[in-house]
Amino acid sequence: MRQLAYVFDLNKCIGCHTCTMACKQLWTNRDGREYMYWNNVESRPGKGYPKNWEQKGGGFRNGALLTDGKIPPKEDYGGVWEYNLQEVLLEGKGNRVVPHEKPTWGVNWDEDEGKGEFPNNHFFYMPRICNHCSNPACLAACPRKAIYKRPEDGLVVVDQERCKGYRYCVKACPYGKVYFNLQTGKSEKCIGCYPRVEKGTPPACVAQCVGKIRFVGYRDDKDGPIHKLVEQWKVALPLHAEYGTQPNVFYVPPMNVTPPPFEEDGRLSDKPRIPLADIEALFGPGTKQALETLGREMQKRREAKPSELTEILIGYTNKDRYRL
Amino acid sequence: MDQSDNGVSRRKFLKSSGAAVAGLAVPSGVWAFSKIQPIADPLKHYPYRGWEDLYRKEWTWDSVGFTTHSNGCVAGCAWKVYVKGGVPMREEQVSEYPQLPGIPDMNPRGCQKGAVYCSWVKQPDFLKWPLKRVGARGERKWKRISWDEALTEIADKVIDTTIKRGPGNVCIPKRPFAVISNTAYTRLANLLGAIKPDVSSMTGDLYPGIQTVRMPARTVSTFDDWFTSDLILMWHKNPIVTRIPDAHFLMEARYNGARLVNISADYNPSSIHSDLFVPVKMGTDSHLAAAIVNTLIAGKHYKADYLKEQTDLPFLVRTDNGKFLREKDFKADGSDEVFYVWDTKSGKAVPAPGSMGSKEKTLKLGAVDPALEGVFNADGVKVTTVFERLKTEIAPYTPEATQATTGIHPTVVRKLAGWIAECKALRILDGYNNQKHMDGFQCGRLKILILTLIGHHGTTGSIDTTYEGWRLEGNTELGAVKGRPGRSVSMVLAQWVWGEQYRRSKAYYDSAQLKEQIGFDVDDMEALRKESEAKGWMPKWQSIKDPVVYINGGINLWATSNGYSHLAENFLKRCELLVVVDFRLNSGAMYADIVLPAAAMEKLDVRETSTTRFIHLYGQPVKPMYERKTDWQINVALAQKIQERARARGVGRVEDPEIKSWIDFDKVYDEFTMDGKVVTDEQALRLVMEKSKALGPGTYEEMFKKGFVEIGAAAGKTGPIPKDKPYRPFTVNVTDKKPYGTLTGRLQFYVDHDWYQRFGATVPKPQVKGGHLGPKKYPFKTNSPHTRWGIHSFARNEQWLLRHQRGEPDVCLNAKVMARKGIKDGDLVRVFNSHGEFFAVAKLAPSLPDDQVFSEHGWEQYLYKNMTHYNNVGSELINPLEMVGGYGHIKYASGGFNPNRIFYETTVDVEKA
Repeated sequence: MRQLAYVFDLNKCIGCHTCTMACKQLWTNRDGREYMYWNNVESRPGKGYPKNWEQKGGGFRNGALLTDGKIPPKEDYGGVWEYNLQEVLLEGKGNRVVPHEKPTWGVNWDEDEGKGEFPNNHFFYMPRICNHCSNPACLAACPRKAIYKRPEDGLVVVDQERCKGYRYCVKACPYGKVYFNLQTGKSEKCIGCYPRVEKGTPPACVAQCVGKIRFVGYRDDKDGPIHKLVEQWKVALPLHAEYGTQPNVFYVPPMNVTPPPFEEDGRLSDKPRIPLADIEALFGPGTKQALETLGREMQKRREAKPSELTEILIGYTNKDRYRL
Repeated sequence: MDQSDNGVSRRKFLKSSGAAVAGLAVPSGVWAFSKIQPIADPLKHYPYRGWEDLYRKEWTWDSVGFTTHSNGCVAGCAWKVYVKGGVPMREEQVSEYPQLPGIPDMNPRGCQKGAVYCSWVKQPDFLKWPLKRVGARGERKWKRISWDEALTEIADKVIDTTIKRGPGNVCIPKRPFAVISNTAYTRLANLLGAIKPDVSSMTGDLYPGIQTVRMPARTVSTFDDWFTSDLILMWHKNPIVTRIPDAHFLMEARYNGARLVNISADYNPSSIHSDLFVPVKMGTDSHLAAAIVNTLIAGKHYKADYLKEQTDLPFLVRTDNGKFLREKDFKADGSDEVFYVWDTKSGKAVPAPGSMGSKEKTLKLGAVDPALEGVFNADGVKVTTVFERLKTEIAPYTPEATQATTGIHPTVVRKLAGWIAECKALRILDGYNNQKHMDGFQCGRLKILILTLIGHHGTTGSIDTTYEGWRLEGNTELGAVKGRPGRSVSMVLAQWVWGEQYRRSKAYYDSAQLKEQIGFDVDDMEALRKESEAKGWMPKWQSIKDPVVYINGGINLWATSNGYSHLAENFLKRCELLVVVDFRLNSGAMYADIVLPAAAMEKLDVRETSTTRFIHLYGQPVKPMYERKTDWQINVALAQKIQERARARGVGRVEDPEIKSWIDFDKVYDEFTMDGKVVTDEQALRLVMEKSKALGPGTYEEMFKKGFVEIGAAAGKTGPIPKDKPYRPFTVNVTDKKPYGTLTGRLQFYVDHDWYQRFGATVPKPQVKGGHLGPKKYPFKTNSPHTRWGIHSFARNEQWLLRHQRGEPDVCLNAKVMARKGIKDGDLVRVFNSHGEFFAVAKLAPSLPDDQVFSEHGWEQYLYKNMTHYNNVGSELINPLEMVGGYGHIKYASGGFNPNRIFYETTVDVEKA
C-alpha cells in the first residue's frame, strides 16, 4: 500500500482558515454536512473542535482498541447559525439581525485565547484534518467493516453505501474527525480529496493554503518533502502519537522560545514563551530535538550560511511542496 | 469560456474518472451482485469501491470563469469560479503566477473571504432590483421599482438641485475597488460638478506625515520583496491578519535569516511568529520611534554620505527665525524654493541642487561636500543644519526618558536599535493604524527617518505604507474631463461640518487635558480649520455647500467615521435624496431613499493594486443576475436618463463659475460615453488597458486566459518595474540621483511652515506629550483594528465566517478587566461614554493589556442590540499639521494630503448589560 501523507508547518500557519473554507465549499456546505469541518483550525492551547476532543477517548492502548470513546454532543461541534437578513433588512421586521439560536460554542470559539497573561501570553494555530492513519481506530471499530484504506494512496474512507450509521467510528476516532450525517444516517469524514488526488491535484485544503504551510506527498518518495521533513530531518511529528493510530499528518511544532517574554521590570526574559512541556504534550518526546534542529538551521541562515532544511520549509513553489 | 482550456471539460472529466475507477477494481455491474461477500480485513483489502463515484461527482462543474474579490482589500488575487447550472458554486485560486529567481512565488494567493464568496453572494441581503423607501428613513420598508422609475427620480433631483441651489450640492462618494467601477463615479461627478470626497482620509488610510517627507507617501514594494529583508518591523500593522495572501513572505523571510519584530499594543497574531515583541502602550509609538532615532544618532549609526545627498538633513536653517536659508535671503528677487548647504571644502554656503526652485534637476552634489553638523556664518546670517536641529530636539528622547511613556524597557529599545543599526535590509511594514492616532503624523515622519538614517530608503529597504495602484494612464483618461474638475473635498472636514462633529467633540474632550498634551483644544481646531479654508489650503465646499443629493457608490459613510448615529442624523438633515448603490443592503443603505443593485460576482473589471506585479481580472464568470447592473452600466444609465430628462425639460448648459466650469445637462450621456466610445463595460475596460503604457495592446485578451496579467516596466509610479526581481519604490532617486517631489527635492525632514513652527513640529519628534487624549474619567481606550474575518464590512456578515466567530459582534477584554467589572466570557456588555453606547458579547482576550476595549471593526449596525454601533462612542479630532497648504509639496491632495481620520483617541467605560 502506498501512503499519502501531509506535513503542516505550524511556524508558517497564520490561522486564516482558508483551508477550512476551501474544504467547506467543496464538500460540507450542504446535505447534512453543514456542522462538519473535515478541516478545522484551532487556537492552541484551547478546547478545539469538537470541544475538548482530546478528552473524548478512543484510539488504542498497548495495541488494543479502546471502547470508552464518546460521541460528542451536537453542542460541542458548535452552532450552524442562520440569520434573519431578509426579514430585518428587506421587510422591515424586527430591529436586529441575529442568529436563530443563542450562540454558546462554535468551531473557532476560543480563537486567539491560548494561555498566560499579557504580555507573556501565548497561542498558536493548529489545523486538523483526518490523519488518514496507518492503524485507523475508526476502521478497527466498524462492525460493518465499511471503512477501509485505499491501497493506492492509503486514504481512509467510509463506504457511504455500506455504512449503517452505527457510529462506532465516531466513538473510536480519538481526534474527533469522524462525523455522523443526520440527513443520510451515515458516518462521513475527510476523504483526503481522493477525486483530486487521483488526478494529480492536491487536496483542496492543501492547494488553497495561502500560508503555504502544507506539504503533501507519498511516504515512500525519498526525494519528497514529506520523507525529508519526517524521516531525515525529524522536524515533523505526529499529533498525539500515544493514541496509537499512526497518523499520516505530521506537524512542524511551533518555535517556543520566541518572541521572548518579559520580566516584571520589562526586561526580556530568557525563559521560553511557550513551555516545552506543553508542546511535548501534543507532539511527544521528539519535540525538543525538532525545535533544536529548527533553531540551529535558522541561526545558520541569519549568519548567511546555507541550510537545506530552511530551503525545504520555505517551499518556493507548488512543485516543491506538492508531490503527487 | 472554452472549458477545455482548463483541461476540465465536464464530459472529459466524467469519462476519465470512470476509467480511473474501472482501472482500480472490477466493473461496477459486478459489485452489485457481490455485496454479501464477507470482508476479512478492510485494512488489507476492500472489494466494494463503486460507491466512490459519489464524491467524484461532487467535484464537477459546467464552466469555469475568473474573478477577484478585492472590494475594500488591497491584495488582488486570481480565482477560478466553478459554475454549475448557471450558478457560481465554489472558487479556487488560479495558482499559476510565475516565479522570480530565488524568490518564493505567490501561489496560491487569496484568503478565506474569497473562498466563501460564492456562498456570501447568495445571502438574501444581496440586492436583486431597485428599491424605493416607503417608510421612514432607516425603517427598512421598501417597494420594488423599475430602473426607469429609479433613474428618473434621481435625474430630476440632480437637475432640480443644481438649478435651485447651484452646482456643487450633489455629492458622489465612492469606493468600489475596481478600476472602471470606481472611475465611473469620478467621470459622472466631474460632468456634474459634484463633490468628490477623498475617501482615503475618510477611512483613516492616509499618511500625511510621510507625505511631507516623500511623494507619494503611500507606496510599497511588491510584497514578494519582503523576502529580501533581514529585519522586518511590523509596526501599527498586523499582516498575519490583514495581509493574509502575502503573510507567507514573512515566514519565508524568517526561514531565510530575517528577524521579525512586532511593535504593537496587543499580542496579536503577527506577534506569535516574531522574534521580538515590543508591547508599546497604545498611542505612544512616536516616543518609541524617537528613542530609536535618538539611539541611532547617539551611536553614530547613520550613513552620512547617503544623508548628504538624499535628504535635507545638511540643509541650512537660520538660527534667528528657524526658517530654511533661501536664495531670497540674499537677493530680493531670489527664489524661496532654492536652499543651501554648507560646503566644507570651500567653507561657504552653496545652493543645493534638485529643489523645486533649482534649475539643476539632480541630486548630484559634484565637488560639494555638505556639512551635516555645525553652526556657520553665511554672509552675515547665522545658520545651522537640519541635522543639528534634529539632534538637539531628539536629544531628550532617550530610551530611559521615554520608558515611562511607552512602557518599553530601555534594554529592549537598545536591542531593537542595535538590530536596526546592524541590519542590511530593513523593512518597515507601516500600517494604517499609525495615522489613526493624533501622534501618527509625527510618528510617520520618525519611522521613515529611522529607515533613512541607516541609508536603506530606496536602496535595500522600504517603508511599505500599505499599497498604491499601478500607473494606468488609461484610467486617468477615462475619469478626467477637460475643464471639468469637479469638487474634491476632505471627507473628514466635510463630515466635521455636515455631521456636526465639532459640537460633539467639544462636548466630549477635556479642554485642559488637550491643551496640556498637544497645546490646542477642539475650539482651536475649529478656528484653525476655518483659517485653513480661508487661506485656500483646504477646500471649503463643506462650508458653502450641502449634500442635497447624495449618490453613494459602494460605501457606508457612517461606518467609516466616528459617531455613527450622530453623524447619520445630522448628515441626513442636509440630504434630500440619498441614493445608495451597492451589491447588498448594508447598514448605510438602510437609510437610503433609493437603493440600486450593483453586480458583485457578475462584474467585468480589473484590480490594479501594486502589492503584486499583476493586474487582476473580474472576469464576469456569470452575467448579471436578477436586475443587477455593473457600476459602469449604472453610471451610463444615469447619465443617459439625466440627458433625456434635461432635453425633455429644456435644460441645457449651467455655468459653474466657482470652479471655472460648466455642466451640459443635455449632453451628459454623450460626454460620459465619449460620444458612444465607452458605452459597454468592455469598451471602457479596453480603453483603460490599451491606453496604459504599462500594458499595451493584446493584454486585454491575455488576461482572460489566466485571470491576471503581468504589468510592464512603466507601471511603477516611482520607478520602473524590474523584470527579474521584486519592485521596490524610490530606487531611481538613489541610482539616478533623481530629485524627490518635495519642496527641497530631498527626503525632507524639516518643514519651516509657520504652523509647523507654531506647533513645534519642524522636525520629526513627538507632538503629543505622551499618553492618550481621551478623557481620563473613562478607564479604557478603544481599539477597533482590521479583522481577519472581513475587509471592513466586506464579508463581515457572511454566515460561514460568522460561525467561526461568536455569531454576533464581540468585544475583547483582558481577564483582569473582566474580573474587576464582574463580566464573564459570553456576557452581553455595554460600552459607553458621554457620546453614546453599544452592546456586544464579551470575549476573553489574554492578548490585551488591561487598558483596552478591543472590537475589530466592520460590523454592520443591524447586528447590534438596539441598532447601536461600535463607533457610536468614537470621537473626532483634527490635526492642524494636516490642514496646511501653500508650501511646495505640502498642500491639499485627494488621496495624498489632508486631515486623516483619527479613530483612536477615544476612551470609554464598560459594564455588564
